[in-house]
Amino acid sequence: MKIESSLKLFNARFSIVVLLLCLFSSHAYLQNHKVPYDQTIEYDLKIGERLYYGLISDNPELPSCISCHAKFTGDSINWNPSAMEIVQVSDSLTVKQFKAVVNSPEDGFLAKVHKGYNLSDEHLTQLKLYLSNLGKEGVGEKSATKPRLGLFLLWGFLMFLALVDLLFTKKVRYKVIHLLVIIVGLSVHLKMAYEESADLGRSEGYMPDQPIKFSHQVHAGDNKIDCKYCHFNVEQGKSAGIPGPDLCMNCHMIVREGSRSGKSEIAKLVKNFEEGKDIAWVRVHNLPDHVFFSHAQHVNAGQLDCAQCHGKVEEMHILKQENDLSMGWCLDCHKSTNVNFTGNSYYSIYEKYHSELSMGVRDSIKAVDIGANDCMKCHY
Amino acid sequence: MKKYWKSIEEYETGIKQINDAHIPDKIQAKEALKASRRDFLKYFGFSVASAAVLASCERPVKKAIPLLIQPEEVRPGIASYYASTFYNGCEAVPILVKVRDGRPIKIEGNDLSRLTKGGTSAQVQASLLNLYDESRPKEPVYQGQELSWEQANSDIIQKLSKLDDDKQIVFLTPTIVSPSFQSLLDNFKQKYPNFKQVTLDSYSYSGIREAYGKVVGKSIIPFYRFDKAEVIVSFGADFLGTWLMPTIFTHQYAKARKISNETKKIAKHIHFESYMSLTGSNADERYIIKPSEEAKYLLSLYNELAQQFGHPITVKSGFESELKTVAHNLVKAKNKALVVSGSNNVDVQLVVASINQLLGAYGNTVMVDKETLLYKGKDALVHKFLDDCIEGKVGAVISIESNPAYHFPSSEKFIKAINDVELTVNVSSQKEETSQFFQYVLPSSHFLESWSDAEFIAGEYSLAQPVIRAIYNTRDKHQIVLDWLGERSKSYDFIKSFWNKHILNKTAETNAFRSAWKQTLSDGVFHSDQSTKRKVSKLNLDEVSSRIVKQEPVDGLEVVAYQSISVGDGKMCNNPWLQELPDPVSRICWDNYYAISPSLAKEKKWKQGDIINIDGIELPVFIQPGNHHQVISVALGYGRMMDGPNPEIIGKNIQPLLERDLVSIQYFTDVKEVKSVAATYELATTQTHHSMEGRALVRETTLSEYLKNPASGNEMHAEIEKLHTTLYKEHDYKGHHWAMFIDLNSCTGCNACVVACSVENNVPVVGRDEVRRSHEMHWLRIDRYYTQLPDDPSSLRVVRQPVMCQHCDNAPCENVCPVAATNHSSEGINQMAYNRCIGTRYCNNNCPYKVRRFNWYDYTGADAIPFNRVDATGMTSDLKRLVLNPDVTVRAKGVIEKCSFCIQRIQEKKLEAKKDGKPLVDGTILTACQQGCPAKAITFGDMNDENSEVSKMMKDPRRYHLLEELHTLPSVGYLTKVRNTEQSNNKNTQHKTHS
Repeated sequence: MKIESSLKLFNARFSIVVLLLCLFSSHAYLQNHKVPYDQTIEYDLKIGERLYYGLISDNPELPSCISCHAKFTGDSINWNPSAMEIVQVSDSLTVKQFKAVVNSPEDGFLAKVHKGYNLSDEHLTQLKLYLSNLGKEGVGEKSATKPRLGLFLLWGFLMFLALVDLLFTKKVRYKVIHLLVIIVGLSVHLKMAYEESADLGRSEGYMPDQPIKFSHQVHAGDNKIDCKYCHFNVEQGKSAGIPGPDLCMNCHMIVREGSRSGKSEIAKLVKNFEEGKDIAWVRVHNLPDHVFFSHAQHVNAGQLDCAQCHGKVEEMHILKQENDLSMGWCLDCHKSTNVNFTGNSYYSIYEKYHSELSMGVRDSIKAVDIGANDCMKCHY
Repeated sequence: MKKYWKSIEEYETGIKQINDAHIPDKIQAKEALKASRRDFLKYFGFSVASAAVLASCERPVKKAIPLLIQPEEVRPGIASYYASTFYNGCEAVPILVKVRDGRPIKIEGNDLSRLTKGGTSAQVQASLLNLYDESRPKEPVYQGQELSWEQANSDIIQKLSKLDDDKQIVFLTPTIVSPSFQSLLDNFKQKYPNFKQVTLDSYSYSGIREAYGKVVGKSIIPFYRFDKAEVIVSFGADFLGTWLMPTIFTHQYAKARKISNETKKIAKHIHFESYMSLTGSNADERYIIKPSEEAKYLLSLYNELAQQFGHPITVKSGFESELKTVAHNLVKAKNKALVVSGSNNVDVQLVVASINQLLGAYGNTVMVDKETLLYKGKDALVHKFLDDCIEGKVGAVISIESNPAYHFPSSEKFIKAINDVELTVNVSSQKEETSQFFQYVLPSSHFLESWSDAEFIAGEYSLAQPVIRAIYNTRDKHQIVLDWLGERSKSYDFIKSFWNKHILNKTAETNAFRSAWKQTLSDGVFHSDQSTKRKVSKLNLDEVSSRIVKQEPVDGLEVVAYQSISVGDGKMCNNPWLQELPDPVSRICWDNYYAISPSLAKEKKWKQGDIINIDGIELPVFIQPGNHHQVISVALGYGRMMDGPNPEIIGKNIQPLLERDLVSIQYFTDVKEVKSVAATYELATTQTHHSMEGRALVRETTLSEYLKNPASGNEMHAEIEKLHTTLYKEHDYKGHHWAMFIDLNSCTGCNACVVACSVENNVPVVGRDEVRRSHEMHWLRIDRYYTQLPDDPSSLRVVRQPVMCQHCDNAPCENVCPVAATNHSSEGINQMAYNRCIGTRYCNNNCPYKVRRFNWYDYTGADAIPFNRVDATGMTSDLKRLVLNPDVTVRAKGVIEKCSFCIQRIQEKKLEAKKDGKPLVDGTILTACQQGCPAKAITFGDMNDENSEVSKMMKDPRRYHLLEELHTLPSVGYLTKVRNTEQSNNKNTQHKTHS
């Protein structure tokens, strides 16, 4: 009873405070805005945003800006420039130039999709204002759905209720129910804690956006370029080697328009190359610092196919980490992978294995048999 | 069984007392008390909170930025090696520099050099860190104001041309070994006729040069061939440590003393000295003399030899009878004998030259036709320069890397005189005391950023090339002088055309030259067999000997100044790797000290660490067995500022003691006054921490015993081999079984391996206070034991033993690890997984060799938590961390680490063999310690390969293992030490044991 009454008291006080705050803020708001609302920047921004989202439109038949120029990138590739990319371009344009690009572009593909757009000067200004504001403030956080967190909190709340009822309110007669709720809740929590901590530092399925919309599907799939052409170091060094702009330009000296992306993406590459600026790709496959991994060992000596670890890269527009790259995953593979034992005379020193193979005691030598799972093969 | 002892405390108090060394000292006890329950809760709460924060963190986005234009020869993750030359004013050593992803990370010896065969020294290995030194001068400076290179150069040129015609322009440099730089200076002389070059060496060898001026008519230093000698007699020349070119001499010495089934002969080494030096501690016979008596001893030796050869003798000096056996040995070896002296006295060197002439050593062990081009300085010229300065005859002083404010004899006079000179320019790649007294300070590039060349022995050339773009706004020395000459060419073009004209002797810009130049640049070394014939004239020693005999004997204490193995002349003092390197004799690091004999300590009632004042310089006392009763030895090269988070002056500069207005500097002097100061200082020593309690660790024999029975001294091994039995399952090594052998007869204890190991494996530097608490981290240490009686210094013998993880097949450490962080690999390596280690230190306790090291703190910046960091020496700075080897994990706080047999190098070479589809050839894998060893004392290989070097050593009767009676079955083996002495040392060796 005591708790309830104190809660009521708290509610009353709280509502008074909120009410007062509202009054003050509206008062301040009115004081600051003596000009009519439809002449303020806030108004123009709002209209610009609505135009971008297609809530206001000069021609409702045509798709809104956001339907092609998305604010956030998703799991599938969007070849069109994103909102942010447009912001970067539009900032340097005058209203007149902006109008020309939106209403009557010259470029072939752009002219086709922008056909019929005829935005008024006022709307264009408002749209441009919104875009430049977006450049300043950023697109913000993508609203993520976290069902696991919800589940975690729900069970936490249920357990809290059960505990409170068990100790104070005692509304439910059967204590079995309390115990059951707590036991189930705890096991849900522990299971989630275990899974989350095991995943710590692992990132299976990681597919970050890259500074240039480079598609492995276009290069390795459609055009059938050998992996080793670009990843030049894969047979020699520990890292496969990320091609520098000079290597890209071997082809892109001539190829200046992509089959899917148009000119914009390749133009970024050419710009970097000509201005001598580095391209900061986002690293997809990361191993912890205490792990030594060598591509040469696996690709050259072990003769593994790239796809065995990296998956079907030729079907990925956005590169994705296919496996979790955990230690268990490595060790399992070592246990099942055959060594090219007779083909490579380095292994001639393993006399015992050779005699076992010839006698038929063994049919194959696995990587683990020649010490692939020793700690110091990877950790030193 | 011989008894060994490791320190004077151990000898005096027996073994019981020594255990106290392991009891936590006061500091530790105090700190242990400080941590209370509250602290525990605080740390617990902190760790929970940090874990929660870490867990909720998003994975950081890592960027992968490829090179804009990928050069073909630079491949990510693959090291390139560039041939170059180490030279810092003392010895020159051809090197290879390992460059990973654009930054030099390791220096190795150049195995194409026929003089070093890939050998290095501790200083060569450590010189890499000076490249990443934040205290280096970064911009040209005029009177404290930064200015551009162009401005500085034009100002200097203008001031030079405005100088009066009678004013000298002096270039003050250390010895110039670069022939191309010398030719640049010749050009300078043509442009400025008043130009003069003065050589200021940090350690003077003027005496030898002057003596040879009389012997062969030109002041040279001959090239000594220790490898051709059968008897070596040295009078205070520390040729394995610091004398002339220790790296080359160590290689030669080890060659002359290599014993194998084929050559059962080793050179005999007799050493006369006043204090315990590295070379003296390696000698077969050691005689203790006072430094002031050296000349008389040599004269007596000359007389004794002359008598035995039937030549006329000169004035007797009174020690003839003591030197009978030494002379007899020399006479037997005749022209295969070599006598050297470390003295800087012309008379002494004249006697030495005459002795070598008597023996017929010229052309055999002493080559006057092939001179040594190091240490070209002459004391008389240095003094003349100072007088000229004082008299106002000098208009400009340009110091190039010579740091006169520190190295100049009587530097205070120099500093005073320099104030009146119109133009003073200091060109330096390191922070120097001189900079504050000079108007211009121009930053020159480190030798790893510079083009240069060297001719250190006539006809032996070596090129030096930059391996990284200059880190700061620096220019190499060639470039600076070229700019002053107003020439447009770059230093590279200048050196190339110089080599074209003068060294490679090929027509310019022909294919023949281009390919020869390319080859030389790739090899790094080039030699021509041209030599200058020089006639050795017979000397009349009468005048010299009467001068020597007339010298009054010094009655009282004498001070001997020597260069230490680690810090040397002090040029690389700002190098934490060298400062933390324990001296091979005293095992002390981070300070210099007065070393005195135990008997003197008893007489004066001085204890270890008592501070005494000798003629105004206060330093702590260190009791060093093997010193002459009346000799106090102390290292040069200290008293310089060490930068870092806690800048401090390390040790004291003792050069002022030697400045007695002599024309040529002598490195010993009599003590005028010595006072005890009522204070003590705790020296940081690694000495008593690893006491092995007097077991048969180092086994040795004499040559005569060895010839009778090659297994002599190692009888125990056969006994233990019979006892092989085990409860554990034996390991089955199907492929490789790695093993390492150390030939104790070759190892001189020069410490090059210790630094090489630290560089290769990211071994942290912990600082003086941590060493005092026995927290040093070196994976490889060189244990030093004394034998015989310390009261009789001349009978004192020293043995050394490099000890690293023994990679036992029955490893005691593996069984006790609760988390299996250390276990056995399929190739016989005792592996250590740092990321698995939880820091219980059970393995450390259970290791009988004490080779495991625990990271008490984060010394290298590996931890994310700054609270864990102890960085006494600035090794965690971003620039210094560039030196880390990216193939080796940087260990965080709380994990054990130890020698891994350079697993990264094993894996690299194995992979190369696999890629080529060929079996691994024995000798392809070189561990870091093995590669840098000038004596080639370390061998590494596969025991499963019957034809490998280590397999052969397994069958050597000299082979034994450390503490093999424990049945740990180590993979590291040792070969017994063989001394070239007639009688066995085993007589009267019982050391006092306290019951």
